[in-house]
Amino acid sequence: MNSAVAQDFIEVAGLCKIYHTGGEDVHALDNVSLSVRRGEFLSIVGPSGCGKSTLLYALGGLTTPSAGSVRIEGKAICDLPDTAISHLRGAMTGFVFQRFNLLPTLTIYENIALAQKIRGARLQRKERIGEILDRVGLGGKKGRRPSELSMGEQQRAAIARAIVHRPAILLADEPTGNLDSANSEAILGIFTTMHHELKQTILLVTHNREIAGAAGRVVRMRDGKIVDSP
Amino acid sequence: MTSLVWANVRHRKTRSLLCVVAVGIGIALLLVLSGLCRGMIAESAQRMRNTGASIIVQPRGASGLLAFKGSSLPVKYGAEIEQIPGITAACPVLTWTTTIEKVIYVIYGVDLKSYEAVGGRLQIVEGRPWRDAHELLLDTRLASANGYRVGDAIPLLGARFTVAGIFKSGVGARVYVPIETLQTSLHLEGMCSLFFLKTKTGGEPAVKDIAAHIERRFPALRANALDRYEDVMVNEVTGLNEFFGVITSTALVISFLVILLTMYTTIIERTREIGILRSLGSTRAYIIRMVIKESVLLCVMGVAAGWAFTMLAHLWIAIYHPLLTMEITAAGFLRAAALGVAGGILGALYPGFRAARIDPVEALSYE
Repeated sequence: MNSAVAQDFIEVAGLCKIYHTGGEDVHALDNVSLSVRRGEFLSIVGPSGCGKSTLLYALGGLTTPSAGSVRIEGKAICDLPDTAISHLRGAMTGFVFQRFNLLPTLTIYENIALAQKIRGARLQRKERIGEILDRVGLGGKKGRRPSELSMGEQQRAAIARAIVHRPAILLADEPTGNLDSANSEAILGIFTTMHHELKQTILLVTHNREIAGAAGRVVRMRDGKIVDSP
Repeated sequence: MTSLVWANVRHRKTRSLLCVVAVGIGIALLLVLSGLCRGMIAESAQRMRNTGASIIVQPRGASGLLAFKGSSLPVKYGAEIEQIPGITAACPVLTWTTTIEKVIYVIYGVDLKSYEAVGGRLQIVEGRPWRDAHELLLDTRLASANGYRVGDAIPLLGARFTVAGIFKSGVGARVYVPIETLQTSLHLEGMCSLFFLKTKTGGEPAVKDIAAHIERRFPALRANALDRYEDVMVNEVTGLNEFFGVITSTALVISFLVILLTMYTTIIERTREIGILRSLGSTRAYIIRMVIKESVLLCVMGVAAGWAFTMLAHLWIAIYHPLLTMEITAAGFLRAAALGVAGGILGALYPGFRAARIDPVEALSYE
């Protein structure tokens, strides 16, 4: 029974996303189907505009698909009302973006604390934030604003914010896209450590073959479709 | 959320400052204008009560404010009114408005003995009562504001009057002249504008019963107890309540528009931030609450600024316009605060709902 549950952790079936821009329909996702096991580290690769990020956003409930379904632990998230899907997103997922997306008016500590507050975490918040900042090597910089950190440090702070609540799924959209190779390596190190230690399910969108190669499975996309999914 | 709200207000200092100042001006406008209006009325009513009279009798339809300008009462009515049980004295007063040093004043033409008989004793602090037809008495505030001393000449009613004495302010008008002089100057011999009446104290009939008796006996007259004359003034001055309504609405609208504009522009500016918050799991309701919280914070700061501006205006009026009375009360401050915050919440609703409707993915790609 356990293995059956593991097989069905994330199920995407017939997913379509059509954007209406300039009087034209753009098929960002075209009948995408995908299964992800619990604890799997999956890379999604493909050229720009092939729908990688849209798929990631659909998995995180940030965008509503035009057709098809996304099931997480058997629950169809596309049918949920906004409040429920927001709570689910906060509780089960963590997003890491290419542009870090830290709030510029808050310190690193406040950025993470705010995320925790939104997710409703109250107990041991301070201790947990301190612990996670130490883990990403920013223990001494929690009082700094994002603009006072290097790009690599900002991304590490963004990762800390995404994993502080131990989400079941980590969704990373080109997390190394703005970083040099040293910082990219460091970020990848954090991801692989998290995957091994915490058994988190990681879906990582990237252009970088080396980064993609670190994942257990690589899915290739083109023109809104999955063209290679081992 | 509070840390984010506070951080946003601090981060955008100029925007926050402008918003706070604008809301503050709206609040101060409300407090100063209504304070001046209420203060002047309250002071006029208090000065009338301080005459010591119990009842004021005027022609029906006469104005309750600004000197009761009009003089359609024959002085001889006084003797008839004095016959009504419970009345011990009646003092005819001819009122007029005139300007001294470009400021409008009400002047009372009275007979001092008759005036004292109804309780209107003027406490002369400098000089003496008038002895001549063209002498007058000024109150201390008017004398002080214009630097008048006993013996100074003041052009009035086409003649020159000499200041015979200066009395302690707070009783009736600021300027008193002999009633006969005023009647002659205005060609209103034998006429007056109103009667102040003194009633027996502590006994029956009650003042309101006497007033009712007068109105039955003289249907063309209106009699009011002076202890409720402030209400009469407020209610009878055409447009006064509407004026209060207009300045209240203005303050509310200013607060509403300032917050609407501020929050609307800030939402556009922070579209990406909204996308980030949504990606972290915040609901639409959370976004609306965040916008409202920020606007309430700005409004509270605006209200505080408005209170400060009002206190400064109060001080400035006291120093440079000592003849103006501005009433400031805790209740008025709280009302203005409630209005300012209410306007802010209303103004934040549209930007809040708009922010909540922003598509998270579009917001995250917003440059």
